[in-house]
Formats: sequence, C-alpha cells, structure tokens
Amino acid sequence: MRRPRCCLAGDAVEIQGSPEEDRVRLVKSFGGAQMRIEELWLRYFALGGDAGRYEVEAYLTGLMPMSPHEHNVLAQAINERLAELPPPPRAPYRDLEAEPE
Amino acid sequence: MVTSDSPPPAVVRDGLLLVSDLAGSRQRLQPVLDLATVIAAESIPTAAGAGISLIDENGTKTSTASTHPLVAVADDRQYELGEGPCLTSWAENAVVRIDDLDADGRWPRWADAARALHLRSVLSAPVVTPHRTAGALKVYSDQPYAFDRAVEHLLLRFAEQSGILVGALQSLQSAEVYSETIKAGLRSRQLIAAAQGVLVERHQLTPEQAFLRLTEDARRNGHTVADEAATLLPGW
Repeated sequence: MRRPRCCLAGDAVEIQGSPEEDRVRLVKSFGGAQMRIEELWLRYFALGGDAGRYEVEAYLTGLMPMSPHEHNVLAQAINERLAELPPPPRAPYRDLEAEPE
Repeated sequence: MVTSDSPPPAVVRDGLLLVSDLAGSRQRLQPVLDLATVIAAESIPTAAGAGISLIDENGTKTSTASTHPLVAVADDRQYELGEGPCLTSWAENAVVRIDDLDADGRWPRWADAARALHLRSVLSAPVVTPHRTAGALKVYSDQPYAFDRAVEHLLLRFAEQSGILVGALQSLQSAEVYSETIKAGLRSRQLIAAAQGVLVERHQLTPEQAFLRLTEDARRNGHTVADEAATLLPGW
C-alpha cells in the first residue's frame, strides 16, 4: 500500500516542488536554524540519516544529490532544531487612545 | 510470526548494551598522579616526600597526590594562605627552589607554617600540558640544602612527563564527553529504526514511508521524531 504523494488534509508535512527547489528551501531553513553543520549532521545521524558529514555539506552546497528519504531526514533534523528556537518577536499593536505625536 | 506488538528485536537491544559498555573508566587520573609522586620520591634520595597538585585556571587545587601526609599538609597551607613555592612555580611556569626555609623571606606566612612541620627545603617544578600549566610537582626535605641543580633538572623532567600524561588523560576525558553525544545519537537512531520497523509491519509501509509517517505524527503531537518513536515502543 503506497501513501499518496502529498499530505493529509491540512497537514503537516509539505511535500512539493522540484528536488532543486526543495533543496534550496531546506538550505534557507538551515540558515535560520542557528546551528553549525556539525550539529546538523549529529542530529541527522541521530534520526537515522546514512550520509556522512561531508556528503551532507555537499548536498547543502548543491554539489551532490541526495535521495528523497535522506533529504527528509535532514529536513526533520532542521525542523526539530527550529522548533527549539524561540519564535521571532511578534509585531506590536498600538493603543487607539494614545495622543498622536 | 512477528506481530506489531512484539518487542524490538534482540539484536537491537544487544547493540544498545554494547554501546553503553563503551563508556570506560573515569578514574584514570589518580593512579597517574600517585605514580608521579612515587617516582619522584624514590629517585631523589634527599627528599623526605613528594607531592603533585593540579590547579585550575582560578588557582584552585583540583586533584592531588603525595607520598607523605606532611607533604599534603604543607601543600594545603599554600592554598589556604594563597602563597608558597608551588603556587609560584605554577603561576610563573618556573622551577622554584628554597634552600633553607629559615633564611628564605619570599613567602613568610607559608614559611612559618612549613617550619612548624619541620620542613627546611623545597623544590617545585611546573606540570605543563599542551594547553596550559596544569599544576606543580614538588619534593620536600627536613634538611636545608637538600636539593641541588642536578635534582632540579631531574624533577623538571619528571614534571614534564607528568604534564604529557595529564594532558593526554584530559583530552581523553573531553573525547568521552563527545562520545556521550555520539552514544545518545546512536540510541535515538536505534529507537527510530525500531519504530520504523513497527510501522512497516503494522501498515505495510517501506521504511522510508514509515519515517515520513513518524515525522507527520510527531508534528501533530508536538513531539520530536525520537519521542514519537518511543510511544510506539512501550517498555523500550
């Protein structure tokens, strides 16, 4: 039994785009994850990733392809890190009663 | 026939046990320090006793060994008073020799304490690791002028060797900290692999589909994938 290619309704995992688009978006997310590549690799390894530290780096820089599954493990490693970070500061609201400056 | 409620395969548990056995001993430093003092005391016949102290960046003593209780007491007085030949030897990374405590005025408060212990001469050499000066190795005598330049060279050589050993042990300890991280990673990896196995059987998925399923369930439940995997393996 194969799962459909895209997600359950209103869900969670976004599977879309060409492999290269997904790679670029993954690199962008990694850029916001505030961790070095060593930590990314260790997290990826802990999730069951099979590529080596330099293969991961080569994939991020676009020098080497990666199987969809290894990409997914890497994405999960980045997303778990992002979930640990405090959210970016929210925009403030203003008091309607305040005197105009 | 394996059902979806089966415990994880024995081979996975065996792997985990093997990994936790790799931890090794953390008590390797003390025998090295003991050995350094015994060698120093036995090779320098005029010494009544030998001691070694490791000192952290703040000048606090962290580990110590001595061949004679008097050595330990004289040493402790230095750290209490914040002065003495071994602290200077450590701080200045230099050999310090006191030929006669009755005549030496450099550390008067400590000299009083040491004289009360009937000590007359002291020789102290810095213990240098590849990263820093980590402490001092010293010999004491109840006779004045117990140590000459030949003994100075000998003690300095012992101190150098002790520094190499201590440095090697300290990098081994930081490697152990790193290996703890690797071991935690391995544990999580095996947990997730076992959970994938459960999903593969339960829902006829490929292992890759099972991983994706874990990421979906984890996100829905606010879990990490490892947490989600653990919910599929009660008693893991």
